[in-house]
Amino acid sequence: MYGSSEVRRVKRHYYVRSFLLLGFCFWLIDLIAGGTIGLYLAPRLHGLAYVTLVIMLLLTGVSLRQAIMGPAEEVCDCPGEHGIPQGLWRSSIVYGLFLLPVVMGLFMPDKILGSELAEKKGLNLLSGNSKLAAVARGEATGVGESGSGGVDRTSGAEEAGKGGIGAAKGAVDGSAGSPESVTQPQKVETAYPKTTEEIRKMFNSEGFGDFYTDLAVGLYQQPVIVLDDHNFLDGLTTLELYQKQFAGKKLETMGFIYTEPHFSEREFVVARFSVSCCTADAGVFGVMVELPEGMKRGARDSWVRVGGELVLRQAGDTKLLVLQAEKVTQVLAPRNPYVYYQNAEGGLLGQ
Amino acid sequence: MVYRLRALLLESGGALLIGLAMVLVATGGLTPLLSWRMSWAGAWLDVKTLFVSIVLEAIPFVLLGVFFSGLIQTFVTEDQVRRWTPKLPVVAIPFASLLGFLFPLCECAIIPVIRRLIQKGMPVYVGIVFLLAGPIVNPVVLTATYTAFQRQPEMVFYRAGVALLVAMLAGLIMWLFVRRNPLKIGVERKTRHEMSHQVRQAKKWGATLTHAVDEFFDMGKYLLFGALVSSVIQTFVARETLVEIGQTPLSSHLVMMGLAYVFSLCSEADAFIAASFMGSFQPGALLSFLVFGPMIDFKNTLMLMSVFTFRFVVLLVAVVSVLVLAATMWIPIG
Repeated sequence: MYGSSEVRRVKRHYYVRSFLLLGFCFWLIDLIAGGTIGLYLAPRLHGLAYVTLVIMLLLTGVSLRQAIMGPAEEVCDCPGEHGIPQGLWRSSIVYGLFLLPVVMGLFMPDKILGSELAEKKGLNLLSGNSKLAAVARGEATGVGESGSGGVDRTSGAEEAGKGGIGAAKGAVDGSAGSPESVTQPQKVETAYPKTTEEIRKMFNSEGFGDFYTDLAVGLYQQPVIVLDDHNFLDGLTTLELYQKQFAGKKLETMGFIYTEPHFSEREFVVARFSVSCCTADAGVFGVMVELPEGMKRGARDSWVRVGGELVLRQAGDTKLLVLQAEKVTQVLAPRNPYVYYQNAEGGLLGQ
Repeated sequence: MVYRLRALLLESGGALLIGLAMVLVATGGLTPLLSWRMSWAGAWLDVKTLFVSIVLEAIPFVLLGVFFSGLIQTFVTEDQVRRWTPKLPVVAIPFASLLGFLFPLCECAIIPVIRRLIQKGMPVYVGIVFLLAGPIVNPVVLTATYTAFQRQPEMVFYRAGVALLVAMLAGLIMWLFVRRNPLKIGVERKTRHEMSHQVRQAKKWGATLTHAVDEFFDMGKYLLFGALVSSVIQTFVARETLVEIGQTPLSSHLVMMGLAYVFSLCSEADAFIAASFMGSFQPGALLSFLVFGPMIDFKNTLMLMSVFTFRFVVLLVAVVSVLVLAATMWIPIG
């Protein structure tokens, strides 16, 4: 049984709790209605926000009942068992913690993750991290440059790219325009004439499983490989798995400009943040870009669409695909800046 | 009489205030207020983004655990728990380690459930085995791991295997050495408390909900604090510095376990983060990250403190750390 002062104390706590729960509800409505939920949760978890909102509304109701009617004695007569914080200080800290996400969520502006955090998280380039990229540049511009090297980067790299894949190209030149390759009509006139089977065979030998073989074949058949929001991560993984085969192909993609101090004036990474569940588990993925002579690099964190040719570079003891840019256009950041793994979908609550 | 009148006024005043807030929410009357947004330094906005996203992701699972434990509390009797739990440790430990396949709960959701089960008479060591193995050895998490490690699918087996091994050994140690009841609030008192609830059968659903509110605030404060600290560290400490420390086998395992502890990721998501470290760390170190994180991290250490005594939490963290380190150092991968 409670004394009357005890009743009042408990009631006060439930009033505070009701306000906090109501705050959570309001915040969730704001997130869902405003569409900003996508900045914090991966699409497959969006269903959870609705579930949370319903439960929160329910809990607000229950808490309000407790606050107005007093701690229902017929339900429970057990002081001290309900984790009601003791003392003013302790209560303020505890309830302050609950107020924090609501206040932050409602009053602080939404910001999409950018270079600043990418620096802390560390970048995942095509097979390697940004450190390797520096090595790659060092070797490309250094004395010991292999093969077709030259100061004129554009042409030199083009040569290098062709060298990597030249043999394969030559060997199948005869099969141009064979009926099997007409799965997508416009592919026939490209410079990479191969039948679907032959391409499949080329990728299958590496044994990375059907998922990536299919993707690789699909990408390879495009005249210009386009990495958009949907296939960015899986596409990048595919390019990394089959570096040799993709060297020399055209690529077009979009992302924000990420730079590091040791990059040269004409180098940047076109990067995207990947989110698997919530934004806190974001990773940074991107392609190293080299601009042709005379082209200016955009501002850090600004969004660009880059088109060009993939070139295989030696970076230490690994190889790295670098995008030799031909066209760079400034674009607006997309409404949903994050990218997701396609084959991870249908997990929890399968959204 | 006067006092009663005053109390009535206060209460109706409070009710009015809340009602007003509700009307405002419903009609969107607060939106002009919200257009007032401050300008913030970029880094703090990143802290906000990380903090808010962890909270948004974890709260549903905490609520799930809270409700699940509420249901156990109201609908499952102690007799039933005792009957279902095998008597012999030899049977009970493997049984508990595979419970995750039946109840795929992540590490946030599992703590309130474990607390309830132990209160209902499940032996502590059995509960601990479930607590450690459950968030890893379940279909949801293993599928996510497979997706993240396309290039090393064997990682799934290593992760599940090492997790089972560590959980069972830790359970064995608890069975051998923990004699005193490690729950914070004595089981007997709690049981008496619950008896009083059981008397009113008709009120079962009401009781479940009331307890859900209490438990949400009880568990939530630790979750929020853990998420806050984790997002501040992630924003201000560069990964590179840690990678540089982790150059020898031992230090790389320790660094990865430290990262797992600080990041406090959900066990469904951590495999993707581990995969992003593939270039900088050996598979063994990644494995220590994958096994240690779901068992013990900053956020759930705080949550454990709300359930178990300080001494017991320290013991548990120490035992699990040593076991994970030893197991991942000893097992050769790749």
